[in-house]
Amino acid sequence: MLSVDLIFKIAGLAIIVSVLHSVLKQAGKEEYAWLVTLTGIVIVLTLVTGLVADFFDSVRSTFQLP
Amino acid sequence: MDIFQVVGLGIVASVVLLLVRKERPELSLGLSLVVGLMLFFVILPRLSSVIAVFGNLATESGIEPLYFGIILKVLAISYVADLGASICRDAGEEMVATRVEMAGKILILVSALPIVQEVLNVIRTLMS
Repeated sequence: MLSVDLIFKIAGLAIIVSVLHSVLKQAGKEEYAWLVTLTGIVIVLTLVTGLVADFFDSVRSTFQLP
Repeated sequence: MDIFQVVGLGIVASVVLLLVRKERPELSLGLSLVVGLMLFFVILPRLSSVIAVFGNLATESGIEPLYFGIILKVLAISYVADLGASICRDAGEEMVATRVEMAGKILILVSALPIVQEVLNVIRTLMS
């Protein structure tokens, strides 16, 4: 259903978050680094929950579940 | 052909996951879940055609639709429980994974109860 771009989108996000994390950690702003990581996780989770909802709907329809 | 698509997707994803898991382990879980679901969506049309064929066979051969529904339900439960358990195992939570699998087994047993009762009835009528 989705092409490969979702994988690269999440991978890009992960790389950006990790670079920002290490940069902020070097700059001594530890808590901002963790804030950036947290926002990265939240973004990925919203993407994933959308896909999981589609997955459950398609399972429900193919297996004729109520 | 679907198998090339699946294998290509799997290889690309595992290479990317290798990098992400080293950098940001918490994001790699979301990524592996996305890849698993995408692989399911690639194979979904084949699966639904197989189910349609078996459905026709079941109705033609006069099997009660209830039993075929139970078979489908058991298949769906086992597939989803297995996906959930492997995602938990991927994240390193072995205990959660076994709990999910146990819940899946119990749900399968519950949904298969009508068949067990039917078999017992048949045996009882044979015996009497």
